[in-house]
Amino acid sequence: MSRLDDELKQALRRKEPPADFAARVLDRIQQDAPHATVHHMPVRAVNSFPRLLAIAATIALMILAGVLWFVVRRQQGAQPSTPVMVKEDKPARKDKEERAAPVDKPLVPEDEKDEQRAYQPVKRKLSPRKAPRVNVLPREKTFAPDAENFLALESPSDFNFSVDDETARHLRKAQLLLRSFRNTEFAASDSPVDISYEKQLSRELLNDNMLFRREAETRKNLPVKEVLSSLEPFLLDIANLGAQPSPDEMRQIKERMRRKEIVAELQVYTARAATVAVAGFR
Amino acid sequence: MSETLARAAVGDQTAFAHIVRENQAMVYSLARHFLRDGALAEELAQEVFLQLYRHLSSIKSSEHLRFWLRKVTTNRCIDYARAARSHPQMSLDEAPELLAPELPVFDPALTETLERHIAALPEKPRLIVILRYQEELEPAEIAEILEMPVNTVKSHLRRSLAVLRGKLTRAIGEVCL
Repeated sequence: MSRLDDELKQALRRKEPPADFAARVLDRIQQDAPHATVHHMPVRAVNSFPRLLAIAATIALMILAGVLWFVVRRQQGAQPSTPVMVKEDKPARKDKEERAAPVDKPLVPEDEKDEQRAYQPVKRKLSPRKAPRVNVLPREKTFAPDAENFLALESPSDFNFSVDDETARHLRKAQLLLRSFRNTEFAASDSPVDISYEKQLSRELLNDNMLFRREAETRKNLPVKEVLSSLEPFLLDIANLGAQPSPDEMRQIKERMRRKEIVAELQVYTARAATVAVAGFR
Repeated sequence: MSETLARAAVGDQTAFAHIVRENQAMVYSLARHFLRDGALAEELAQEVFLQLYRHLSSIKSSEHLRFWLRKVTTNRCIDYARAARSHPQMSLDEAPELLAPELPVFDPALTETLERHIAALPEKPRLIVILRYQEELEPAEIAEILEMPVNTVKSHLRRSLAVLRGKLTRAIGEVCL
């Protein structure tokens, strides 16, 4: 070890602090007791409680704001003008339920306007080659009620509606299709059944149904429009079934048909149309 | 010592006072040699022990306690030095050289000179020299406290000693240093 090392050790030897150093440290600990002691964890926890509370409140407010924003956005999204295409292609459950009882539905002109507005974009989507297939009767030859009388009507028997031949034929075809579908029997093993014919027919009727419904709507022939609207989901469901649908899928559609009494409704309208036609000849 | 630590950790002031007395020389001297100011060193040492009191529960053993005290003291020394930048630091080359050609062994003047030269070293090399010669720590231990590579500690130490030797040689003449 060199002399420098010795000198360094001498120069850097430990030196004692003032005699009362430890006492001063303890005094400072006493002064800082609320903050310094390790035994005041609960006190510290209490001190930090307001901060935690503030953080929790901030988080809660942020979550609340997020939920409100979501609800407002959802309500805006539920306006009738927004999901037009969905409404046209596959009516919402609420609409279907309303259509199930077309007679009880309050007929308010404002609603009609809204519905017409909602269906506006669909006009552009329709294939132009389909339009000429509808034979529109002149307005003076129909039995459609005017707006004032229409609002006063209460029961289906009160409706003096008109059904042109094309629409009546369409309703009869649809009725036969639904009857055929309803009467489809499963084998004992619940094996899939072949409904390719019903599917094909349903597709064809679906296109026609859309056109007739639009036409009835334009002419404010609301009873016909309602029955066509009720029919459309069933045509859509049948058309969209798989090549060999499972019994469960078919049972679901049949059950809905039973609940909505769509076959009976179609029967009423086709019979009514026939009666009106006979009366017209006389 | 572990028992004392345990008692201090549950609030025994007497046990904590015992720990302070056991380690006060080390903490105070580290600060004193680094800062070259007794009052400031005492202030710093008190703060270190206050911090120890708050963290007693995290101290596992007496070895851990010594390591913790050295580490906290050196960190605080650096903090103090940085806060006191207003005091111009004298580089080793600018340090005044003393004219004392004949010196007895452990001459107080030589010791004083050496202390001043040490104080003029940059922060990290100064701490390395202090830890090496005051606490007689190995470079690996110093590296652990200062959180730097061992080779860096060794090179700092080598260069610091060379500088100190040169300064002292010029100051006291051709003495066997």
